[in-house]
Amino acid sequence: MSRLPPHALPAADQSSCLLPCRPVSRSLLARERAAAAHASLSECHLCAHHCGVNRLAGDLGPCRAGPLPRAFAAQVEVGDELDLIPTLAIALSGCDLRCDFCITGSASWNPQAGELLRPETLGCRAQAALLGGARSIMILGGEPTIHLPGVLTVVAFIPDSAKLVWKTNAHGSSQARDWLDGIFDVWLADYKFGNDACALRLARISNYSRIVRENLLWADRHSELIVRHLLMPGHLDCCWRPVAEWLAAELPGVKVSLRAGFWPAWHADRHPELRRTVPTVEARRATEIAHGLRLNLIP
Amino acid sequence: MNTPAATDSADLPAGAPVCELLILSDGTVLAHNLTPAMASILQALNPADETLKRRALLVADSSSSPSPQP
Repeated sequence: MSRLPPHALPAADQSSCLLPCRPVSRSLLARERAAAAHASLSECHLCAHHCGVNRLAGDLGPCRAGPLPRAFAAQVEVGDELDLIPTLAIALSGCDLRCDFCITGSASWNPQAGELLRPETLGCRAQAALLGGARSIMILGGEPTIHLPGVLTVVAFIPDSAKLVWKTNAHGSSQARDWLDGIFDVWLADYKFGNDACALRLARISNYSRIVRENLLWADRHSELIVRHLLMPGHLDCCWRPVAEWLAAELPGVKVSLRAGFWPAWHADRHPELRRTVPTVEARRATEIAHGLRLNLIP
Repeated sequence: MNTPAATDSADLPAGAPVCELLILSDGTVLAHNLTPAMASILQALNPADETLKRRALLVADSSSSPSPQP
């Protein structure tokens, strides 16, 4: 499917415009939305928890995040999908999920980890990385959705020509999607669990399937979408197979990144099946399932 | 169970590149936050690895681009 770059959206008043319409600058769009997004933290509904706490007043919801984002890493990496690398990966502290196997658990569960986000400085680092050969700028976490106002402020300092990647757990709200519309070129979205019981047990999250599917369908309509699934040991039939079948049925042709490099991090030892890496036989079967369903696997 | 280095290093200053490796008893190496430098090292150690080869190639390509300003 061919699309305009998301930041090359027509001006909102184009129907009454007599002059040729110019694309709205992404950085301008981000700057305009940042203030309103920040104000929305007084009753936070950025993620699908819809906790409604007043983060500006210091109240804390499930993510425990305050109003100002912090970053625990910002470096050029080459471990992500080949379409995206090298990428400058900017990792924000804090998350709205509680995945026991999180590989960056101490920072992802602690929004106070790392350093206060400095948008102008990160903008300079992004420009330097792009000049040095980076193909994209990736905003990730933890979960960046909970820091959407700060992210928009950062985007305002990133060149419009840069390929921007939104790495997300796909647990955002419709309000968050409205703020994000037209900002990111690529959504790199996790589809972690194939059923709500595993999501509740491993990440303490309810209604997972409905929410993640809603986000994936939206992302596919509004940007380039890559769906990533981290294969977990012992979760081939309960998680990967249903994910694969849904993708084949509802998002045929979407890029799918099947990752088999699980390792038992953070609190994975709370779950006996997660105390190991993925056996070779399971990884092979997972690929066979993908091929059988004609999924568009990407490296 | 031991907590991997990934979680221990999460509070390092943003300017310090960090890459975590998990080396399994069968020789398999898993990497998290793979940096260009580490990709080059791993590729040199295992030149036959196709996945690493493609990533290291991208690094080599990008390194021929103009260098970032100081």
